Amino acid sequence: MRRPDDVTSDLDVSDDDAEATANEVSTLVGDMLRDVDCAEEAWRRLASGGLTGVAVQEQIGGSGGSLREAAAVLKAVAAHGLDLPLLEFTWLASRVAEWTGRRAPDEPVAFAIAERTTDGQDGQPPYRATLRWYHETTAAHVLLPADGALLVLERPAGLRDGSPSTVHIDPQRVRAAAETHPVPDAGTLAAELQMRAALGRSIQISGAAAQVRDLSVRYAAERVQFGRPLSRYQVIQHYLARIAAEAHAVQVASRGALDAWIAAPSTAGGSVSNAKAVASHAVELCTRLAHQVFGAIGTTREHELHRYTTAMWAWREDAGNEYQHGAQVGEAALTAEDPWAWLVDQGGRR
Amino acid sequence: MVTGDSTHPDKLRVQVRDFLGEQIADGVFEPRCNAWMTRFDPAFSRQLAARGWLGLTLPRKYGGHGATARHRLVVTEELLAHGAPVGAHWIADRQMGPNLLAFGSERLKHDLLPRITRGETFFCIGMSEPDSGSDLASIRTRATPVAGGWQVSGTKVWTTGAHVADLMMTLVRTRPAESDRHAGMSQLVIDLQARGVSVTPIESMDGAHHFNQVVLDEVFVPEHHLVGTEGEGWRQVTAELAFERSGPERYLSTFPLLTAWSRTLGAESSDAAVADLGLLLARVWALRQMSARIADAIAAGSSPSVEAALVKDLGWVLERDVIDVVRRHRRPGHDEQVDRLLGESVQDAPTFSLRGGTPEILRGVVARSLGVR
Repeated sequence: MRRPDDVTSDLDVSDDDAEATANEVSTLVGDMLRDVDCAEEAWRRLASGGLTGVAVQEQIGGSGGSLREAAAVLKAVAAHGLDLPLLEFTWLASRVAEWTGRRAPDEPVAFAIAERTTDGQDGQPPYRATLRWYHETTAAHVLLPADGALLVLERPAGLRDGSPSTVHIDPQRVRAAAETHPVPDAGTLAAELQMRAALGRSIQISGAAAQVRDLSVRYAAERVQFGRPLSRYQVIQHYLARIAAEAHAVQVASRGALDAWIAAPSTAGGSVSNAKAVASHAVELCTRLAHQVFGAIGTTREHELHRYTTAMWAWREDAGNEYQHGAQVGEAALTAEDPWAWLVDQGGRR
Repeated sequence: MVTGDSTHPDKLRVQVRDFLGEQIADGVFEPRCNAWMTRFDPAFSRQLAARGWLGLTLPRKYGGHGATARHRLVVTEELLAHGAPVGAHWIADRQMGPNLLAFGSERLKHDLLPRITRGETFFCIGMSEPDSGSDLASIRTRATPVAGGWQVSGTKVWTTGAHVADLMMTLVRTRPAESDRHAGMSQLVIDLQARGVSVTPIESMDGAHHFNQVVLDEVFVPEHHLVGTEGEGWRQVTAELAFERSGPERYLSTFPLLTAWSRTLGAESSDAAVADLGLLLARVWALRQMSARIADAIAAGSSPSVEAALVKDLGWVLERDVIDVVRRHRRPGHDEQVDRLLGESVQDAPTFSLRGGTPEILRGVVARSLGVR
């Protein structure tokens, strides 16, 4: 029998130079985080190693490098079960800083794009943003596209980490606040950030899904019930195979969207939506079957499985779930000659 | 892989699409679901051959076109997406060309590959038997050495297209099963016109005829019709599986239904219908890329059988989900084409998860690669 550790690479996308670079980054992240299980320490190490600034311009405080390398960092960190504000910090807030010619943030931040709501009805301010706070984040950057402004909010007291909270924004406060920054052509930037967020979440889901697959394979081989390891039962083998299939689909899809984005961000929207739809769709089967393999222990705080599955449930909703991206894809396809013609015109591997 | 064909794949796609558009407009064929398995039209296949679209990846010295796997993928996915009647040549072009190229003798290659490319010779595959379904290693069709070749006796079933094919790639036992049950099998090319061969239809539940039973009663097969090495049949068949399981026919069988239904959508359509359409398309998009990766890997000389199993296992679920989405949102009686394609697809759907390896077999293949089996 081949050991699970050796074989999962068969199903990984590792077929060219670009991916070889990504694998190096992944090894680097792996070494850096090997014995870490606390988020602050993980962030401190990643930041001091320059990995929280990959693909951010050096002149604004980033580390430079390619988006492909940044994607590899994102994926590797997700595969470690660490829910850090890396996407928010590196892919979003630092991108706003680049856009406006400011320095990248020094500390990890939460990030959101505020959407306009019904104007001031029920005494509510006309902007709403859904923010996810992390243990390490003391501030949030909120982009208000319609006002061309970036607002820096302090963390309210009493929030639980990782739980999305809805923040309503009062425009009076925005005008009065010291911490607002003008953002030129904020609508264009917001559209780019939305795609970055969807692409980044797809990549994170692919990292976590691969890890959930590997953890499930290992646990099934170790856990003995009725006198034999779970992995000897055909039904369990089939669960593992289905998890592997979904993990592979997410991997190929997120890779395809990344390729499309790197080739031409302006035409990558369809690929990114496709990838996020596929990634969000895959979360259900992956997490359901993994929890079935692990049984009750997998549902506990003590066991590491939840670090992946709860993150995957959050990520599948963030930046649009499979139904919202499905709607975008469907709308786009209906404007084309026929759905097939639309599909073939989307970027990706071919 | 020779890359002799100078047409860029994108240009080739436009040519194929234009041709299919004309054929549909002229009423030569109507788009049908699952057509690669159920629609046999030798004249249409020869039309494709005349345009140079069969045997694309076969080397020129064997009469092929020396193009890349990408070129072939472009042609095949356009044919499938438009529901063209490709059943007659499908197996010869997809599987037997590459198989003969890899394992056939020079004589067999020079004899058969040009005929496959010209659309003159169609193949079927004789694998399953009355007592051997998923458990292929239990086959009993026996080939006994005789002067100048082999004498073959046995029965093959579920042989798609045997009634239109000229030749059958047949998995036989050349030695009895011993301790290694995968040893002692061989592949023979059998002429379906030979004495002792009888082909009888196995009618499907909708009355269609694509399956057959092929009885071989002391059929003489000349020595040079042995493909590859005697006793290596299992390994050769396994190598074919990457071709057989990873192609676009494993996820596009119901695409013509999706296209027909999408034409009925408009401004008044429900948001849920549009979102369901989009999610299905996103999944097809991912499968297309998985399929392309495998085509590239095959072209580079490897046989990614695990990835191929993943494509097929995700693909058949998608093909069925198309049916469910159309059932959920269509307005019965409002579009004749949607109603007909849906009705046919419902009855064909059970075969999606039977042909080319059941999900149970595929998941076993994947589980083995994960080290748990």
